[in-house]
Amino acid sequence: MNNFKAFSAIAFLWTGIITAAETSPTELLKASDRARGGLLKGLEWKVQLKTIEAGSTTEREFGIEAKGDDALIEALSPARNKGEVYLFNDRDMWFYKPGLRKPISISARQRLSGQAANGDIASTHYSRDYEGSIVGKTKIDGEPVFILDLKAKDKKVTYDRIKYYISEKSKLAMKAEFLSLEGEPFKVATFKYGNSILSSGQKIQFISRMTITDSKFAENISDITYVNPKEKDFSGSKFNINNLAR
Amino acid sequence: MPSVFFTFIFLLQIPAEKSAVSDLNFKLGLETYTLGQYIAEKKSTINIDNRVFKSPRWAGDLDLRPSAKMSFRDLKFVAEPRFELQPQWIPHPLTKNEFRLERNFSLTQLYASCAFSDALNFSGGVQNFQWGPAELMTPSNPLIHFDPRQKSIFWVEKGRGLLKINYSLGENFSLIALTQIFDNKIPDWIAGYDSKYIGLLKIEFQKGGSDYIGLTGGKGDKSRVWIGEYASLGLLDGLSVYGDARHTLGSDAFYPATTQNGISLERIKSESSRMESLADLGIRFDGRLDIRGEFLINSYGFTKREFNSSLQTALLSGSLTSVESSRALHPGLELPGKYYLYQSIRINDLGPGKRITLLERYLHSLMDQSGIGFLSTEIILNDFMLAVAELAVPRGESNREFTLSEGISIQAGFKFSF
Repeated sequence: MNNFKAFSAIAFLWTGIITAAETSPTELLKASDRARGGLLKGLEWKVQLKTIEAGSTTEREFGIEAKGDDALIEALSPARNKGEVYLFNDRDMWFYKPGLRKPISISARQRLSGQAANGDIASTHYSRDYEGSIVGKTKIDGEPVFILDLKAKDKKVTYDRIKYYISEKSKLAMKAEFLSLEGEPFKVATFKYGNSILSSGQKIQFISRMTITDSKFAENISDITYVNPKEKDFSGSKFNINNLAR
Repeated sequence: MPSVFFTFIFLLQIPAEKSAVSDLNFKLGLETYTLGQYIAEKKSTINIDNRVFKSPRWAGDLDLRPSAKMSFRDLKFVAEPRFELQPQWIPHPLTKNEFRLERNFSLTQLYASCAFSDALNFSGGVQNFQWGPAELMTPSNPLIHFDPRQKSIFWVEKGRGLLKINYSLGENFSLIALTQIFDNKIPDWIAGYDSKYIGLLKIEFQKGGSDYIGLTGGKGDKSRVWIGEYASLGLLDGLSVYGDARHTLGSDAFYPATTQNGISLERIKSESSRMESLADLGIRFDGRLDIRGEFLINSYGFTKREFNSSLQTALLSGSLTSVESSRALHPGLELPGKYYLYQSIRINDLGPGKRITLLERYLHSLMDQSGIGFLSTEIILNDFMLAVAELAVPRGESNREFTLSEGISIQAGFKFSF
């Protein structure tokens, strides 16, 4: 019996290694990006961001339009933030709010609310922004997942290093550990995919919830809910800083 | 009869075009400031007993800023009018004190824009179109001039009547042609010589958020040809250097000149072919704090002697409405001196619940070592209400650039958003 268990374990390990060797990290990231807004075609959705920090709760809502590497994000509520606009051009980010004379460049790493950074609410382009390598396999909720080690290609991206867990079967990201320069996780995110979109006649699963938890203070949570995603055709000039809605 | 038929057919088509209705977006908003202000008396030889500037000692401000945005696919309409009601109490030590109620209606923006393709965008109407990396001013944009009041966080720049075409190749390259067709009742910048019509070309190339360069050039119906440039370069993570400049041959501004009738303000450099420049050079660190330092070089500006002569000329004219006073107050200079230092620090997420934003700014004239500092704060009270306050403190000896008319002032109140 013990021999059988040992044989099974070795077989599972080898299957994993062979599968991992056959699977390209870039392809995995591309597939997982698609479900987090990283599509070439135009998309729009709404994001509800609920933050619990030090016992107090805040809620914000954003409207998001994304196309390729660009995204335009407008704050819809609360009323005091209405009209604030975040523009993503590739890895660069601009911020404009009523009363400001002109848009200013800001960092995707800056805190937006609670655990969520500016870069967390836009579409995800990890296949563009990170060098990935598959470093192992594990199971999340009984589902086999690849573990990817992602290293930032550029200082402008939201996180320097991510331990990213992608489902072997669905190719969807299940979990992300955002690592400090010392390699310690300082935030952990989990993902759910209750939404779907029709893109070129093909049904694609789309993210419905991202929950980011502080690694040291588990009571500090940012919960991002994605609402009503749909494909939409709009002009690329919408994402030009000189045409930014003022 | 055929027209009724076609109208009927058209109406029948509307339900079929269900996606067209879902593409229609309409957003309304309202920002309201309710403020009180105290301005301390400032003694200066130009404003003895408040006879010249008639500055209020106490003032209130009810400032309504509604906004409406409608978009349909690639078509957008924006309307942002502004209503202000300002009760003011003005002390006149030698005569009767005055109570005044100022009422203002203005248009901050009212325009339509349309994207014809991924590359081509057109907009027309009252627009507040600004660019450049510097915080103090944007010399490469002569449509918008420096206004001393813009130092306040409550300042809103009025848009200009513009027709603008933007041809862009992706987000990295933009070629913009624009024409100012009316000035939206902006007070004269050069007394009696402001351009109503201005043509401008702008080319911008971006390599990234902190790395970009732009060139501008153009001419107004009453102003000379200018060229301008602006650039920003990221050095390290969060650290960037930048510059923004404008150049002309000669100057349109008024300078003190000795004439048969004594000293008067004349456009003595209008025939000059010497290159004049205005440049704002800066460095920015953008991280937990947003810190900026800027150095302004203004070859158009007055020497200290010219500044004093200009003041004397205005003073001797005896009235703010005289031609000489008007030229002294609106000489056609962004700032009167030749060299300035500016710094600002913005700190977000302070205090319990990270509800406080603090902004500190200081502008210093190297011409006469006077300056003005601002400390502003916004405190989030709830989802639709902020407490706001701003303290302005001029420093320097009497009768200097920043101590002529302004005493310490404090403005505080609430901002409501709906």
